[in-house]
Amino acid sequence: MNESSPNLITDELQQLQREGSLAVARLFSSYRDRLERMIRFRMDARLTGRVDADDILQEAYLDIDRRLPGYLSDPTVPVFVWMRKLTLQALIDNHRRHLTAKGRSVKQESKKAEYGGATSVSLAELLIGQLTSPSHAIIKQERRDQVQAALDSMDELDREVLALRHFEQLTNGEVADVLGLKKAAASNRYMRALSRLKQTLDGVISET
Amino acid sequence: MTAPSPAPPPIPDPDRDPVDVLAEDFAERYRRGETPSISEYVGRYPAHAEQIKNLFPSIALLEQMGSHTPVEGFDATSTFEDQLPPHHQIGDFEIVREIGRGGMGVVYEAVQHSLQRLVALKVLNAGAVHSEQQARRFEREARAAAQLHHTNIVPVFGVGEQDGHRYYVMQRIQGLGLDSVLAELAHMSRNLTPDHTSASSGTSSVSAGELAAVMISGELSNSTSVGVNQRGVSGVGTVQDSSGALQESVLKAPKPGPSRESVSSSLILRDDESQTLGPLSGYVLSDNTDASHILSAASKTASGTHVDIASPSPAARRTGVGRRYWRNVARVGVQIASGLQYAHSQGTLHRDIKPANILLDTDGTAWIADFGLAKVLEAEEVTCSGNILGTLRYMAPEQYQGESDARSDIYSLGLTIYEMLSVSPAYVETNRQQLMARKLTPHELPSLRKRISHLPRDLDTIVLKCVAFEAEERYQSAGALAADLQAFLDDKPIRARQTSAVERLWRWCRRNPVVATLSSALAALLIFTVGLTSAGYVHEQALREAADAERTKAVTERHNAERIADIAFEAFDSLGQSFVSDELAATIQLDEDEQDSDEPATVPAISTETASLLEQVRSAFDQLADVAGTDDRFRDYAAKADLRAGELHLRLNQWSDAEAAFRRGIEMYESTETSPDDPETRLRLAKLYNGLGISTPWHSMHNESREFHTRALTLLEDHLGQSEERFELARTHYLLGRWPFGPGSAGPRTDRDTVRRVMDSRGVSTRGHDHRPETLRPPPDSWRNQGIRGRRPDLGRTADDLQHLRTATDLFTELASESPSTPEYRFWLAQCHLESSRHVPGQTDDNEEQRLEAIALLKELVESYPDKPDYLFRLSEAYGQSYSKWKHFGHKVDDRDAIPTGGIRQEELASQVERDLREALHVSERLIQQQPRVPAYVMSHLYLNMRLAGLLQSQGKVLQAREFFDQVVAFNDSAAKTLPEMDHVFRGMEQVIEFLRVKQLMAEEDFDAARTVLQTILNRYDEDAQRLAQRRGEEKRFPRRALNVYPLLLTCVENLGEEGEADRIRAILAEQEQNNHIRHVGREH
Repeated sequence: MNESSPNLITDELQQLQREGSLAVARLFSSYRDRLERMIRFRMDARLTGRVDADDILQEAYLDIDRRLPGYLSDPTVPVFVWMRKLTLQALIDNHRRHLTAKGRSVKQESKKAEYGGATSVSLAELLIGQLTSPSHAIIKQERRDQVQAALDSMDELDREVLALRHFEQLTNGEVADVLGLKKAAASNRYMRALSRLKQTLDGVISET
Repeated sequence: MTAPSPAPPPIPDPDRDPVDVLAEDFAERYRRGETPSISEYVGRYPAHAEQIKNLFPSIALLEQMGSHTPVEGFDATSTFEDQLPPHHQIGDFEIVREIGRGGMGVVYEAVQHSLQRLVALKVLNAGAVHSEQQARRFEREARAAAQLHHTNIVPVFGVGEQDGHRYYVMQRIQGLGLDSVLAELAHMSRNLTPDHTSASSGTSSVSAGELAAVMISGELSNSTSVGVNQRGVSGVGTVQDSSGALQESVLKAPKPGPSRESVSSSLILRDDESQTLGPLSGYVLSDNTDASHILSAASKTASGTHVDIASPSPAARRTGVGRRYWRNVARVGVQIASGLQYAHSQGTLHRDIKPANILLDTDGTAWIADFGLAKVLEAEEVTCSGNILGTLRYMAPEQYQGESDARSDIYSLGLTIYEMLSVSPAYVETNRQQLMARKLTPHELPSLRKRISHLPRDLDTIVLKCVAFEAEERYQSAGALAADLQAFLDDKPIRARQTSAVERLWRWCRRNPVVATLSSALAALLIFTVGLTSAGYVHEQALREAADAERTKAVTERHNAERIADIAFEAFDSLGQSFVSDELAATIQLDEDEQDSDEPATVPAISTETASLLEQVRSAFDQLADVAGTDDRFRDYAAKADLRAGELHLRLNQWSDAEAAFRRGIEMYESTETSPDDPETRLRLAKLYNGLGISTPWHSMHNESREFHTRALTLLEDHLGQSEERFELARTHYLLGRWPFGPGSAGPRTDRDTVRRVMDSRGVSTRGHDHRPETLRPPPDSWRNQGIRGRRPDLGRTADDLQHLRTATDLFTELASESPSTPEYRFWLAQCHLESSRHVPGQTDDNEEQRLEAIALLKELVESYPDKPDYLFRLSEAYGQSYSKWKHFGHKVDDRDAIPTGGIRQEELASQVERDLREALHVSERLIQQQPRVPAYVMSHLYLNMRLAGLLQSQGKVLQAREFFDQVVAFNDSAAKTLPEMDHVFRGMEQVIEFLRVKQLMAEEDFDAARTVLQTILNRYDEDAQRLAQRRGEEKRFPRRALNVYPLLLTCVENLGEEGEADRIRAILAEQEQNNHIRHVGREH
């Protein structure tokens, strides 16, 4: 958290210690947008429409509130990272509930649910689909496959780093906390992923 | 971290790649809505130029992808090509050009080779249809839609799939979505000029501006008379004639086919009705050069004229030129309604009627598009949240619950018509939650005639009937709606009747006696009142110019508003009643005695349902108060509302809300400078001041809170008459006489709105659980948290305080003897006695008599009113208060033979207190059986058990103590199950219970076990301190709360005979004693 003022963060922790739920409510609402962004990005497309990001946020909030004592007794990560983790957990729980209940293969789902769905597929869809317009359909399948293949070839961690930095708008310090990396390592990962992505996109663009 | 651009530059970070830091800055600026240029960065950081040039474009891309805002602008700069290019083949179809896009996919104009016709091809987004099951459903729905043959339903030719593109083939309608037309109308009414370039240019052959103009002054065709050329068969014929040439020319020049002028002209000609021009709609894309030349001038003129008509100036509005527009809206309505009627008769619902799904062609025919798609895609259409919102906005309330029938389509159509009439959406919420909250609260949309006075009443009536909140009150069939619209067009009487607002809303109240619904209805009533009232004021502005009839109407509306306000208060009163039994649900109970850790152990005050109900009502009152501020007729209502709202907030421990409400109420009178001559007003004002005094925050306790009560006192003192006033006066004295620091005192508040808080200080002793009636509920820990930080808890009551308390007691005694039938007086009298019997520092009297007096009164009350939980609870409290005496005088274990005040020996006192606690538990047991889910009762019961266990432990009655200790543990567990929403509280209690366990073990002389528990606690504290220190980058501090633990540990160790260890602990304690800022070291011991 070199780059996100250390005072702020201990301050948040102190607020939680001092005010409990009151502070949970306040901090959660200040992070709400970011958490919602995370949910939207990581939510399985099949889940949307059935479950609203708001529902998940609410679920997460209750969980966060419930787990506050536990967190305070062992605050290993900054408040935001903690809240994000529980929110992600709520999302994953929802994935499990809704997607595996339909008689689909649990194995198939869990692979995606395991890390909240920042898969190459969701990235590819964003890159190709939403990037240009809401119309995924008209993109040539090959092009999409290509980007996806490129993303697949990336290290999973690199992919995640990109997602965290840009879709969830985490700072480098937060990324490091989320992934359990050192800050320098997170920064390097990010730079590497970025140039990998650049190459990928170049390839796709030149082909068009 | 990130610096605002352009300066100062981001701070370098040794831990990170310097370009990364710049990248973050760059991304940050994107998120702020800037469009930072890459060359700027290259210029500023030449050392990293290469990497910046290389990587930043990807960042820009990522940021735009990630942003919530649609990336329309991006297409222009993107090197990606996302459209299917012209000539692209999908099965039998060849793409001509894109003509629109929405959440589900992109719509293309395409040529169907086999039939040589132009069609509209909707290519669904990849991912819109996921599973095989989904795909089958899609096909099934499409087939159903294809069965629909109606003039006003866009014919579906078929569905298909090719290369992963799922598509939907429709007739090509030469027109635009109503949403574009509406946008254009809105634009025109703002800018006074039609915008021919916006919305549609480049993608469609018709401009929204032209259609908008047609809507305003053109004459749209009627459902019964149009469609000659729109039906599939005749259309196909037309196409076949010219298809070859047509196709070629179109494909060569893929831009708008029919010139705008030609389309527009045709409409203008229709408008003039001077001649009949062959329909230019359908598939005819012939290049009408001649016509366009001839008519372009006319078009311009026409546009000029239309602008005037569309302008919102009052002059224009009153001239009646809008008449054509209303009729055109009605015509569109008739067409869509008859289309719906037909589809409904075929068993097909649309489910997603909204402007975007209604096409208006150049011939004035309205078409319903996308039949059945909503159902297929309801779960999938999410790629674009904006579209969801678009859909939600028009959804009928019941659809949110997943129910829809024909009347839901009618509702959506009604909202669409409503929007056409007002040229702005009925619901403008952009936040999904807000939108849903608003739509799900029973309410009525305001009549449009409030805003558009020249809108025909019948049309207004028809629309309001469509959008009635309850489906039963809408048109029951689309046919009935079509008939009424047609009747309007034919100047015949319509069937719909405008029920009066009062009637309609009163019906709600009667029909929904349940609190939940009642409060929603109440909120709706009030909102409606606000609507009426504010509309009334708007009218007032216009009254001078308006006709007498208008004036009369405004007066009537005002009158109605007053009646509604009456009804609302009636309803609110009954709502208030229903809260009475719930009163203590709000109470937060805390006991510092057992509170040995810094862990939270409070109780959430409000059940969520109650809170949300209250919130609804409150916001309605707020609005009423806002409007009411401008007219003193409503001032009293508003002040009453504020008073009630404040009281309810107090009950729910929502202190700041309560304070705000009371303040508003007071300002209501202060702003009008009314001197309270009228006794009713005076009383109300006094109540408001007392409420404010109770809800005012602690830190201003001594100045403000007392000041407020004093003001109430002044208001009441010289004007005594009715018993209600004397009651309030007595209450005021009571409030002034209570000891503000004591437990149960009604004064200091902290914000308890979100329930739990962390106890960061250990308390002063003497905490009985004392609870005021009604509003006088303190957050019991506040005095502890703040009081010990140097207020004056040691001062006890002043002589003044005592005098007030005595006066209060006298007054209540008087009242009680005058009206023995009013239990409330006796109840308050008991309350006064209890307050007097409280053990306040510096007060040496025993006051036992007064407690017994209180008990006697309460016992009587309980006997007469066995079902009143309030009385039971208070009785339990009165017994339980005995414990405060124990804490005050007798709880030192090492001073067992000391003779406490009152000449009773320690052991006698202990057994007396034990008896009382058992009695208190007995009463509490009864209460819990009656009301198992009230947090305050549950917590009180828990604490009584804990106290009794503690008392028995200290008295060496180990076995009995064990019994109650076990009960504590069991009850805590079961309570956690009964009140799952308070689960965390009971979890927190477990840590408190841990201490009780230690004491129990020590009493049982199992020092080894006790020591183990203590060691666990200490380790936990130590780890916490360690972590905290790390996080703060400080040296680890000695955890203060460990000071409670060491003395106990010492005892254990001593008893285990480990002298060395004992010495170590003594050393720790001595050291801490030295630099200790903390009082009460070892107090518990």
